[in-house]
Amino acid sequence: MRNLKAFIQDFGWPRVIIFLFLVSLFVLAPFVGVRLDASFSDVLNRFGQYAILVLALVPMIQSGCGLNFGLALGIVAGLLGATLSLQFELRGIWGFFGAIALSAPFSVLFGYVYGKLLNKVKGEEMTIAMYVGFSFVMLMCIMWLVLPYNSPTMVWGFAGKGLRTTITVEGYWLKILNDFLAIRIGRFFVFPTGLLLFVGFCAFCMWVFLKSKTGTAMTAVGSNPDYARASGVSADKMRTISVIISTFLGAVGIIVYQQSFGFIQLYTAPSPMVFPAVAAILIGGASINKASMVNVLVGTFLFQGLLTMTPSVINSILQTDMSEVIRIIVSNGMIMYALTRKVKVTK
Amino acid sequence: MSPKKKSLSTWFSEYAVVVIFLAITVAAIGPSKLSLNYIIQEVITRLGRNSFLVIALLLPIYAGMGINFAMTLGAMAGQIGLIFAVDWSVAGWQGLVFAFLVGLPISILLGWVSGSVMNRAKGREMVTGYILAFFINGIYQFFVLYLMGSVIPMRNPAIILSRGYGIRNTLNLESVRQSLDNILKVRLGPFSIPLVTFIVIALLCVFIVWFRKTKLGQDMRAVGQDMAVADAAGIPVEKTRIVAIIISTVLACAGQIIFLQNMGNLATYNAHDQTSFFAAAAILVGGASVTHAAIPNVFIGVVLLHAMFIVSPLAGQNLFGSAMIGEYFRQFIGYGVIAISLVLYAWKTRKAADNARSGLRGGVSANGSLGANNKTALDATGKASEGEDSEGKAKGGRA
Amino acid sequence: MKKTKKPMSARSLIARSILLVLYIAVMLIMVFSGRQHTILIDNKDAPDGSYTAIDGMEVQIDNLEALEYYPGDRDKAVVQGQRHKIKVNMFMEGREFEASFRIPFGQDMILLSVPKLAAGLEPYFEPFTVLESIASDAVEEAPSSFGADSPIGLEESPPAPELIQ
Repeated sequence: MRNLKAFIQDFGWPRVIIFLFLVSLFVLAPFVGVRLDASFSDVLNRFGQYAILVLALVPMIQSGCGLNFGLALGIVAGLLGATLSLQFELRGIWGFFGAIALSAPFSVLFGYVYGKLLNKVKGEEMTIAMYVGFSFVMLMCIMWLVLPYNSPTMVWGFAGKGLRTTITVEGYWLKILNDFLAIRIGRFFVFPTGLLLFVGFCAFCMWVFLKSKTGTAMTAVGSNPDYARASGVSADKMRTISVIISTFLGAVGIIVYQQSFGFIQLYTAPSPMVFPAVAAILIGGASINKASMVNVLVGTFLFQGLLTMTPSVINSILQTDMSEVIRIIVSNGMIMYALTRKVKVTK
Repeated sequence: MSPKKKSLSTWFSEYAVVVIFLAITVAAIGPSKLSLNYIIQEVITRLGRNSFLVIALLLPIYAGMGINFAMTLGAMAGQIGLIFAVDWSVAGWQGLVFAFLVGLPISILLGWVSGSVMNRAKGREMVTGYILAFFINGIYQFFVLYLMGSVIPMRNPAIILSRGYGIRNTLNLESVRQSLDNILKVRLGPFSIPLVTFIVIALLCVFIVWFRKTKLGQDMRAVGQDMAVADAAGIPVEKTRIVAIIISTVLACAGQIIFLQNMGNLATYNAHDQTSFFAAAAILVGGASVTHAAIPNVFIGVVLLHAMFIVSPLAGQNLFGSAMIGEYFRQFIGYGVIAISLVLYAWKTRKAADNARSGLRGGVSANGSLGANNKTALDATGKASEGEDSEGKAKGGRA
Repeated sequence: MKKTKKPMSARSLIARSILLVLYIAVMLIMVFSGRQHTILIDNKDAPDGSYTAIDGMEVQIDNLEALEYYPGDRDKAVVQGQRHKIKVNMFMEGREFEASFRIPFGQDMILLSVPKLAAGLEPYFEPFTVLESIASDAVEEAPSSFGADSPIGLEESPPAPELIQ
């Protein structure tokens, strides 16, 4: 009993409530005429779509940079990679990995500059990251209009220049991961094997990395800066590395998202992608200075499960669409909860 | 390093934002092809519209809590007040006072909530306030979209959605439109000036100046200087911080009402989205920082920011053949200004901390770290102007 | 932080109750003086022929703009508060007269018949209710929720450019 209480205390009430809420949604679903298998399929799919974006937050949390509200930079790098791969007419599996490869130099560059900047503003990273992200997205809005792309699938038909707001990846690398070894059971359930394998692979790499020498040094910088300095680890260098990794994973994450979603969304689209990712990792049990793979996977599953199930179930019960409001309250409430939680010194 | 050079760089880092901004705006006036009279009239209108909201940011800055991004809460309270004013058809300036009176208890409550939340997140007030605004936005939407008209009786069917509850997306504020501005309009040469609005703003400034001198105002500044010292001196730190936020929220409520009466219609679900963004950008453009702000910063900021907002879309249209570029550009600048100011401030605090630490270690290393920090300052401003550089390149490319 | 709860002193209790009374008083004043009413000014024959429309007149409510009316005309004046004056100047008879009246607080709209007023018949105004269907009911719907499938949220999205005032 005491154990359970301690567990709940540690896990946090909001998470317990969200978990129970989600469970009750699944229980209720069949009674209001929502198909469970279709819902599960949806949840798995969306879990795969978002998981890598959530994973991208881990390195910076570990290195003490806090929640990466500037993830939009990584997303923009991914957009550059994706649009370039379309511009170069890369298709199929080559298109997908080509997009990742093309986004890599951008994400390393952005991550490097952004990391250097964050090193100069220790203690204020989160607010600054947010506004750096916003202004960079606006700058890129101008860039999408003026960069010399000319692939007819991407530019506005009448003007012949300037990228469209949404670009389909159909015919290039649509669902390239989703359909890889996908298992179809019945009419409504599809198990996106390739997508989940890729997510698992990335999470495994991150896990191995965090156990490596660099990874442990990075964690040390975040959790115990004085100890790290004493043992000769350069805090600034570790932080920069964590930002670069985070930015790169942001780029990979958005490309994975796009291949499943089917569209590349440009202009102001990157900004709103960030908050759900942050909310997800926090729901999974991460705090602003500690995160693990379990937090990422559990959090993404819970959050996406909530987002998938609330519209269908709540709407059938109440006959109105409350999902938007619930989403806003849950995701931002979760971030707020994490920010106001007293940071535990022990452990 | 000569002392003169150092003071120049200090001056620049102090006013970098203002200077950069002034330069962009002046450069954009020509290509925009707008007449100076038009620009001035627009700036006067926007001064009346926005100043009150910007002044609402001052007290939390005095109290050392940074930019109060949670001022949006007050704006939402003001909007609820206006919805009731329209619903009960209370018109004219009386409608505005009524809206404020309805919003007052709501904004006091929300201000108290937000102050208490920020007390739990000391050192992270800004980002917490920002998220808090989103969170309360969810509750506001729930309240306006689901409760109004179902649980809370509304008597005017014209403002309710066709499904029977919830307020329409856009609310026509015909009955209170510019009712404050129009009480007395003075013509000064070619310009018309909403005198009463400016009197209200002036009274608020007087209030702020007076407030700084009161016991509470002094306490607030002491808390802003150093919480530990203030606490040792017997000042109730947490309470003082909450009061600062409550006043700010209440002022934001009134400010949003003034803003909306000038605009003449209310986008029920997103009129408040941009409130804190514009107010924060304005006060920072005006030369304020996260720790220091004064009334002149407010007016300089509103004039500069809005002058740029007026000219940039047309300048973009005429220079690049696309109004969208101008639109994106001014938003980029708005966000960029906030980012730069925050960076400069964070960098300065770090420099101060480093100086203090190296001061303990001895003079030689102090010089060393000073040099290093000046270099970082250059880096920061370099990064800040990076955006313009690429903008300049784009311009060069077209020319 | 230790919490000491002092009993409220009599002075601050009085101050607070005065503030509360003041708050309510100001609010009531605002509601009553700011309440908007629409007066429909009517110049038509009575259905039973007890009075007939005035052949040309000028009507002014309070200090609003004076308007001319001919038989069959109907126009409206939007006013605030309850007590109002009406000034009528009849062209044919050359008669000019004033009257003052009080609109019931709860009434959004009243129909004021000038011929009836001129004939000295009471009551010369009556409540008027607009049919619900007239209340415009456009295609407007709940705020465009982008749905659960779209990553574009309502709140976090940076402003659509045209939102800037």
